[in-house]
Amino acid sequence: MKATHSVVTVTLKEEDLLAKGVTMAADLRLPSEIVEEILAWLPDKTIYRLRSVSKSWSSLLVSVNFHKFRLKSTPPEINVPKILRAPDRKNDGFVILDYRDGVKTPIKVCYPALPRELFPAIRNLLIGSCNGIVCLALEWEQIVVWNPFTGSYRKLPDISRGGWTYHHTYGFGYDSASDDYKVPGKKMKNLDERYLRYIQPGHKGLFLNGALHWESWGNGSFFHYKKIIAFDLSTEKFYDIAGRTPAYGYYGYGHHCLGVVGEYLCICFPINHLDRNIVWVMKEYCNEASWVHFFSYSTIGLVSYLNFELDFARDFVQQSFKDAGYMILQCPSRYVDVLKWNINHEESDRSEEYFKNIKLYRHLWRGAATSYTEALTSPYVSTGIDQEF
Amino acid sequence: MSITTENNEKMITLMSSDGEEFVVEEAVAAQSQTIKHLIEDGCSTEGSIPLPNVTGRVLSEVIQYCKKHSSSDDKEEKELEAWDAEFVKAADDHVALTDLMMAANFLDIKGLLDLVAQTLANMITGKSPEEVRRMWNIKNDFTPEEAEKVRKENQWAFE
Repeated sequence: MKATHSVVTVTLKEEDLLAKGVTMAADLRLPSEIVEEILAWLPDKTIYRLRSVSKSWSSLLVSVNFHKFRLKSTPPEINVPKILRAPDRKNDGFVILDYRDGVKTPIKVCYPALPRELFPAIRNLLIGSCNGIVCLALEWEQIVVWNPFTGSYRKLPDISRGGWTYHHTYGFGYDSASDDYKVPGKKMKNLDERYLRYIQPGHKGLFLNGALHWESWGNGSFFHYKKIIAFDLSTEKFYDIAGRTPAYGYYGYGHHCLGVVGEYLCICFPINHLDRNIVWVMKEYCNEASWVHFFSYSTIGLVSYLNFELDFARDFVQQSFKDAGYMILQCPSRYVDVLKWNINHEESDRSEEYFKNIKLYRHLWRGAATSYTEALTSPYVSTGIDQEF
Repeated sequence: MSITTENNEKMITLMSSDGEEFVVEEAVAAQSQTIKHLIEDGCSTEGSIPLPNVTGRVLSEVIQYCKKHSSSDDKEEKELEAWDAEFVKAADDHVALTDLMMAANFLDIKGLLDLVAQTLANMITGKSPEEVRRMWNIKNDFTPEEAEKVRKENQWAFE
C-alpha cells in the first residue's frame, strides 16, 4: 500500500552528528514504520494535529494501515464500536450511540458534522462502515463516504441515476489492491447472476478480508441457509466460502447473521428448542473444517428474538479485537442487543455476563444504523488531503 | 567461530558498522529476533555476525539492555521498570533515542522498541507540528493551500 512505502526524510543537524562521532552521510531516513511505532502511542487528537508536520506524515497518519496497526496495539476497550443512527422524522441529525457504559440516551453528533446543505433529506441511509469510514446514501443519486470522527467526507461518483442509490448497492468495503473504498452496485457489468440470486434483497454484504460476505438463502426459503458467498472487491468476482455453514440443518426461526470476531468470520443463529442463539467462528478463512463453536447465549427476554420481522432484519455482529469485546445484534426493529463477551471467562458458557437492549429507533428502516470504530482514517485514502467537489 | 566460557555459556561475537566487536552470551544476543534467526541459519559459525546498520555506540546500549532483560527473568518487575526508565533517561535526547529505535527495529527487539517508542511519544505529546518538525529536521512540504486545508480540518483537534 502506498502509505507503507513512504519514508520520512530526516536530516540530523551537523553538530549532533559530530557529537556522536558519526561520519556517515548527513541525510538519514526515518522509515515510516518507525514513525508508526512512535505515534501509535499517542491519543487521537495529538495524532490528528501532527498531520500538519509533512505530507508523508499526513498520509501515514490517516492511512488504513496505521489504523489497523493502532487497533492491534491499543486495548480493546478503547476501540469499542459505536452505533451511528441516521436522521429520522423526529431527529434531523445523525446520532451516535455509545453503549459501553450503558448510555442509552442518544448523543448528538458533536464532531464536525457534514454540511447541512448536503444533507437536507431525512432519509439518508447507511450502507455500511469499515476502518472508521461510514458509507451513506443520500436520498437521491449520491453516495458519500464520511469519517464521523474527524468530519472528513467525500462524494463518490454516481453509480445510478434516477433511483434510490441505497437499493442499488451491495455493500461497502475497502480494497487494498487499489487502496480505495468501493461500493459495488447493481449497475456493475458482468456480475454473476448465479450468485446474485443468493443475496437476500436489501442485505448489504459484511466486509472482511477485502470482500463482502452474505449468508445465502437459496431454494426460495428464508430458513434454508446453506453456505456463505463472497464478493472480492479487487477482482470484482463472487466466490464461495468453502463448505456448508454450521447453521445448515437448523430450521429455526429467528434471524441469522454474519459477523466478525477479531479477524474471523462468524455466524450467529438460533436453536429454538433451547431458546439460545449460538455463535460459531471460522478460525481459518475459507476452511470448512475450521468452524468452531464460540459461545451461545440465552434468547429469553431478548428483543431481537421477540420481534422478529425478517423483512426489516438488518443484522450485524461487530466487536472489538483481541479476546474480549462487545457484540451488537441489531434486531429487526427498534432495538439493539448488546452482548459483552470475554473469551477468558472460565465458565463453560461465556454468555449473559452482560446484556442489554437499547432502544435505537422509532421505526428501524433497513440502513437506519451502522456500527463503526472511531478512527482517523481519511476518505481520501492516498493523500489524506480533502479535495473540493 | 564460537567460544565457550567456563560456565559453558556459548558466546558469539557481534560486529558493528564501524568495526567494533562485542562478545556476548548467545542467550543475550538471541533476544534480538534478527540475530536469533542468523544464528539458527548458521551465520555465526564463520566468525562474528556483522551488523551493518548499527554503530558501536548504539550496539553497546542495545547489549546493555539485552543483558539486563535476559538476566532478570525472576526479578521484580518493578525493578526492571525502574531500570528501563533510567536506561532511556541516559540516552538523553531524541536523536540518540531515534538511533536506538532504528537499531531495535532492525534487530527486532520488541521490548526495547516499545520502550523507546513510548519515550519518544511522550516527548512529542503537547508539541506543536512546528516543534516536531524541528526535532527531526522534517521538511514542511505542504503548499500554503494544502497547509490551510489541513489546518482547517484539524480545527477540532486544537480545541
